[in-house]
Amino acid sequence: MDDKLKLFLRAVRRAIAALILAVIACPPAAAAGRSVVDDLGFQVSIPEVVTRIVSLVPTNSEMVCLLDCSRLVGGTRYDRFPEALALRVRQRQIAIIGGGFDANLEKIVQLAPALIIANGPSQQKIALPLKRMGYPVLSLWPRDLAGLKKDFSLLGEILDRKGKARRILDQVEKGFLAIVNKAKGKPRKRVYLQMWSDPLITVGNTSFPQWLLEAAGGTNIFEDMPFDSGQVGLESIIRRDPEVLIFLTGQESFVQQLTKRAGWNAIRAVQRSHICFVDESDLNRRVQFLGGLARMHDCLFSAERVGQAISSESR
Amino acid sequence: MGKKTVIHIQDLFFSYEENPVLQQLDFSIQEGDLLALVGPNGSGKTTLLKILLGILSPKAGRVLLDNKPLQSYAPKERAKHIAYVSQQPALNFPLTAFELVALGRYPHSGRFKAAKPDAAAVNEALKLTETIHLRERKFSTLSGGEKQKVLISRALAQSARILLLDEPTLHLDLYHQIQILKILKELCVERSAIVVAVLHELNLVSLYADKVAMLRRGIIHAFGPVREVLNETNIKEVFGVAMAAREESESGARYFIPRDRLA
Amino acid sequence: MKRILLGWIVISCSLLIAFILALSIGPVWISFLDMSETDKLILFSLRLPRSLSAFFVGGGLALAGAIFQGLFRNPLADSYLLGISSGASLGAAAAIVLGLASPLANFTAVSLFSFLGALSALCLVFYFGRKNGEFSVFRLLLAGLGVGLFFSSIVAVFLLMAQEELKALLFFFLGGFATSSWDTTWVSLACVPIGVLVACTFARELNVLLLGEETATSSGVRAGRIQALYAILAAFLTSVSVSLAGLIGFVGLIVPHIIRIIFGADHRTLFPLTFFAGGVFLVLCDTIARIVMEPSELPVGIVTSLVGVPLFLYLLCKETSDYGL
Repeated sequence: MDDKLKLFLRAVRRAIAALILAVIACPPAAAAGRSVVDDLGFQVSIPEVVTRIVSLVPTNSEMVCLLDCSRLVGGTRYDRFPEALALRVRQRQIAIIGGGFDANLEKIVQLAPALIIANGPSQQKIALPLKRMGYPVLSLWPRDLAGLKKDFSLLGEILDRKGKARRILDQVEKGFLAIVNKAKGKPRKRVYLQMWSDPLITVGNTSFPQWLLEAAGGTNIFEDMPFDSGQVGLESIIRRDPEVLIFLTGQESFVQQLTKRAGWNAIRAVQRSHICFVDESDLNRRVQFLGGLARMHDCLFSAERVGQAISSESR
Repeated sequence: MGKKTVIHIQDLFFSYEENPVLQQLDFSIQEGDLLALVGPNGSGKTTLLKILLGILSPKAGRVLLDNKPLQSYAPKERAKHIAYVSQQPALNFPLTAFELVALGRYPHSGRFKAAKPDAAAVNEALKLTETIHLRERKFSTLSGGEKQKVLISRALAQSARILLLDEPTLHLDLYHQIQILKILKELCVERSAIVVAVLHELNLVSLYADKVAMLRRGIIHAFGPVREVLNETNIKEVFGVAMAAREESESGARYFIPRDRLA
Repeated sequence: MKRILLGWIVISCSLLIAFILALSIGPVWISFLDMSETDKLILFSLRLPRSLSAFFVGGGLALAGAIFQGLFRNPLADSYLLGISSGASLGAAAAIVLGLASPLANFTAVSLFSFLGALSALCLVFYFGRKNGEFSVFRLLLAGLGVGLFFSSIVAVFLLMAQEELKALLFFFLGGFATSSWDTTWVSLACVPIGVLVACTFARELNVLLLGEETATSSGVRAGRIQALYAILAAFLTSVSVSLAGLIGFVGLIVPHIIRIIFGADHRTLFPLTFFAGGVFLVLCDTIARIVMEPSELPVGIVTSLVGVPLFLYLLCKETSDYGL
C-alpha cells in the first residue's frame, strides 16, 4: 500500500510543480498595438510592429505574401501562390508547419511568430492552445468580395502597407465590376460544379467557389446546401438539370466517359455539350481570384468553350 | 437429543412473479445435522437454498437463524454464519487455489488489515479438504474433483458453521463423490457444523445424511431422519420411480435398487 | 510479494524514462540542461500538458478495461470493444450539436455529457449481454460491437450533417493529444486519480465477485452495489479519456491482460499497476506518434493498435490455458 501511495503522491507533486512553472513561464510579451475583431468575432490584440507571421491556410498566406512576403515565416504544405511565395518556400525561407488540420503546434512556437493567421471555425482546435499561450491569433475567413476587402485592408494596416493594399483592391474591384457588368442582363445559367468524381462532391452556399460562380453569372444548383462542400447523388444532379457542367482539371478521364455513364445523358449540359474545366487554384485564390472568375464567365457565356468539349463520336 | 436448533423455517412461501415455487415450508435444522435436499428438477431445491442464504426473500413466512430473522443480519454478519458452495463457476482469470480460498476470508477481514491471520485460516481450510498441495496451482488447471474441493475450502475459510451446497457431487467421479461427502460428514460430526446439500444420488443420501427433506412441486412431501423418511413409498411419490430398499447385513446400511432390476 | 515490488520498481523507472523521452523528443529536441526561451515555452505549455494528458488518459483507459474485465468476469472486455467509448463520443457530439455544451466555452460540460453517453451505452450492453441472469461472453461482445457501431455511426452522421461551425466544434474531441493544453489536461488531473482511489478501495469486493454474484453475496458482498459502482466508475474513466483524446483502442484490453499474466488477478495489485502501466504505455505511444511522420502526426490510436495487437495476439496464443478458453 505504502509504495503505491508514495508513487502517486510523487506524480501529484510533479504535476503541481509543472502547473506552477507553466504559469510563471512567460508567453511572448506583446508590445502595445491595436485591438481588432476578427471574422469569428474574437477580440485580438495585435502588436504595433509585426515582423514574423505564421499562416495556417493557403488563402491567408496568399494575402500576406501579396503585401509583404518577407514577413511570412511559416505556412502550410499546401501554400502555392503567388509565385513569390512558392519561391520562398523552395528557398526554405518559409517553414512548413503542417497542413490545415494537423498544424504542428511546436513548429509554430519554434518560429516565434508575432502574429498567427488562421482560417474559419475548423481551425479553432489549433487556435485555442496558441491563444492560451499568449499568441495573437487572427481568424480571417473571407467568403465574398466584401469580406475580402475588409480582411485585406486589415492586413494592410497591420503590415503597414495600407497604400499597397488599397491599390491591389482597387484593381481587383475594377476587374470584378467589369466582369459582373458583362454578366448583367444575361439570363443566369444553372451550373453544377464538381470538385471530386468518386464520390460526387460539389460545393455549397458557404463556399467561396459558389460566390465566384454567382459573380460570374451562374447559379449553383446546390445552393441550398449549407456546407462548404458535400457529397451528392447523380439523381439529384439529373433532377436539378444544370445547363453547364464545370469540372476541375484532373477529372478529364471521368468526363471522357460521361456519355457512357448511365444517367448523365439526361442532363441538358451533356446534351448541349456545355462542359468546361477550371483549375483548382482558380478556386483557391482569394485576392487573385479574377483569373478564375474570368474563366468561369467565359465558360458560362462565351461561344467558344474553354477546355475540352466532348468529342463528337461519343455523342 | 438436546441438540440446539439453529435454523428454523416458519410457514415459508415464495413465488416468482405469479407462480408459487415454495409453499407451506416448516421445519428446523439442528447442530451437527447433515440435511439432504432431494426432489425432481424444478421442485424448488435451489430456491430454498437461496432463501436460506438470504439471497432471496420469502414472500411470506420467515427464516430464523439463532432465533433472529435472517433478514435482520447484515450481509457480512450473515456471511460469518452461513457459507455457500455454488455449482462450479467458469473462472476466466489466473487465480491460484490459495488466492481463491482466501476470498472466503472476506467477511472477517477489515479494509486494510494485514493478511497474516487470514493465511492460517486459508491453509487450514485447504488441509481439511486435502488440497493443500494444490495451493500454488492455477485453479482453472485443476480437475473437476479438485476444483470442487477447493471451492468447499473457500466456503470453509469463511469460518461459518452452516454450509450450503448446490449439487456438490455433480460431474464428479466416484472417488471424489465419496471423498466430498466424507469431508462434509466429518464437519458435522466433529465440529457440530450444519450442512445442507442438494443431492441427487439417493444412495449417498442414505449413507451420509442425517436428515432429508423431500420436495415435490415446492412443497415438502416428507421431512425427518433419513432412516424414517427415505423409504420406498416416499420415493415413489416424489420421483415417480419404484425403488426397492435393501439393507447390508453387517453394517445395516441401506441402499435402493430400481424394482425392475430385481429378478 | 517480491515480484510485485520488482514490478513497481520497473514501472516507476519506465514512468521516469517515458516522461523524459516525451518531454525532450519532438520537432524541437530539448535538452534539459540548455533551454532557450522558446524551448521552455514548448516544454511547459505544450509538451508537459500533453504528456500528462496521455498519462492519465492511458491510465484511465487501462484501469477502465481492468474494471470491465473484472465486472464481466472475462478478459476480453474493454471500453472500446464494449461500445462504451463510442457512447462517450456520442454523448459529447450530441451535446455539441444540440448546443448544450461547447468545447470552447465549457469543456467540463462536454465531459459531463460524454459521461451520460457512456452510461447509456453501458445500460444497453448490460441489458443485451445478459442471458438468464448471467453474463454470456458471446452476447456481451456482440452487444458491445453492435452498440459501438451504432453510436459511432450516429456520430459520423452528425459530422456529415453539421454546419461548418458545428463541424469545427465536433473535430475538437476527435482524437489525439496534438492540441493538448492545460485547460483540458486539468480535467484528467482532477478526475482520474479519484477514480483510481475508488477502484482500489473496493478491489477486495471485486475479487470476491469473480466467483459469481451468488457466491459473492453469500460471502457478505453487496454484489449489486459493487457492480453498479464499478460500472459507473469505468464509464466515468472512459468518458474523461474520450472527451480529451477521442477513441483510442486496445489500451484497456492489452495492458490489464499483460499485468494480470505477470502479477496475477488480485485486483488490489492489478488496479494500481495497470493504471501506471497504461499511463506509461500511452505516453510512449504518443511520443512515437509524434516523431514517426514528422512534422505530421500519426493518430495515437493507430500506434496503440500497431504496437498492441501483435502483442495481444501473441499472448492469446500463449496463455489460453490459464483462462480455460
